[in-house]
Amino acid sequence: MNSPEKRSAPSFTNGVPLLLILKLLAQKEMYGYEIVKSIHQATGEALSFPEGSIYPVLHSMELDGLVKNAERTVQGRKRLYYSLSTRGRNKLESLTTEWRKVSSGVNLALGWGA
Amino acid sequence: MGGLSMGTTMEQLREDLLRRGVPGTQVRRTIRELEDHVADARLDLESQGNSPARARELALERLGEAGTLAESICGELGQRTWPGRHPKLSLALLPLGIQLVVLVLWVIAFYALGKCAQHLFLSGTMDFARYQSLLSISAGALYLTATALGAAFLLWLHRRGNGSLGWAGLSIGLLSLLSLICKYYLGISPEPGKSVLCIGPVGNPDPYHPGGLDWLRFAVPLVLMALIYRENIAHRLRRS
Repeated sequence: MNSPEKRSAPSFTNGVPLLLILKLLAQKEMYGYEIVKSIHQATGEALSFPEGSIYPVLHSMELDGLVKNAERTVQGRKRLYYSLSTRGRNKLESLTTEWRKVSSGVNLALGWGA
Repeated sequence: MGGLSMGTTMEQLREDLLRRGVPGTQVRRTIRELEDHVADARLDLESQGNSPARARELALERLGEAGTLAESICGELGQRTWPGRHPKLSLALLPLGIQLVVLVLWVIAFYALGKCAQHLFLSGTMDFARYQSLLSISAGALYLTATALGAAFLLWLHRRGNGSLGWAGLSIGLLSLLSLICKYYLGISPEPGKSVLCIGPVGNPDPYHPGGLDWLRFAVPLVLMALIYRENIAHRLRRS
């Protein structure tokens, strides 16, 4: 799980974790384990990654102002919940547009239609 | 990693992160989140019919190995900023740039203060001894403040970037050295009515032998680094 920005050698898959996390957090605030579970569910277990690597991505997104965190006590346990900031919503919009372009281009190239 | 306990994995990770220079607060937060993650995963796996021991083993496996996680955390931090991506280049350029800004700001601030002091002296409001004390004390204090601010900014950049203790140490050491050399060649003219600043050894009473204040300026960035990286340094010392 690497964040897509500020990489010296970006790859096609670089935007995926960020896009997925932003998309999930746009629906509701979540804590780390909940995000990982939601990614597995949403992608039909298609993505495989060390689950702990979600946290540096979340921390990096927080430093970039894309997400905010808040500590909440739920059923006697303190958890750090992440939610989307306005900047994060804007980023989600731009990444979604970008992803649509890329995926339609790839589909076209593979002969599956846009 | 079947034989590893959560305590061992977290301790390994904590050691690895501190050794690499990741701030203690960041290490504690990450460990806490990872421990919560494992606890949640264990409960989930147990509810799926796994034995507690198997659930613990699977939860840790899914989390990832300590080394991989440390690499991922440091990689993520390292790619965030320019110093993190180019540690060698930033080692030389950042201290030089910061020192230049420190000098420019100090010269501007001191020039303005010197003009005020000269005005007070020439108008007879202030005697010569007070004029000299004001100039020398304010020059020292301003330069010390500017150096401290520059060092704090450099450390902040390193902390925000790759968190590497080694690069931060070399970079801040260079800043200390530059600070000592630069101030060495900037003198204060004690003659009212003339420019208060002298470039070069002229005007400096003993330009080639740094005094106590010069060494203090040299030490300030290093002391700041020792304070900011205290947990990482203490960890290294314990290990050695």
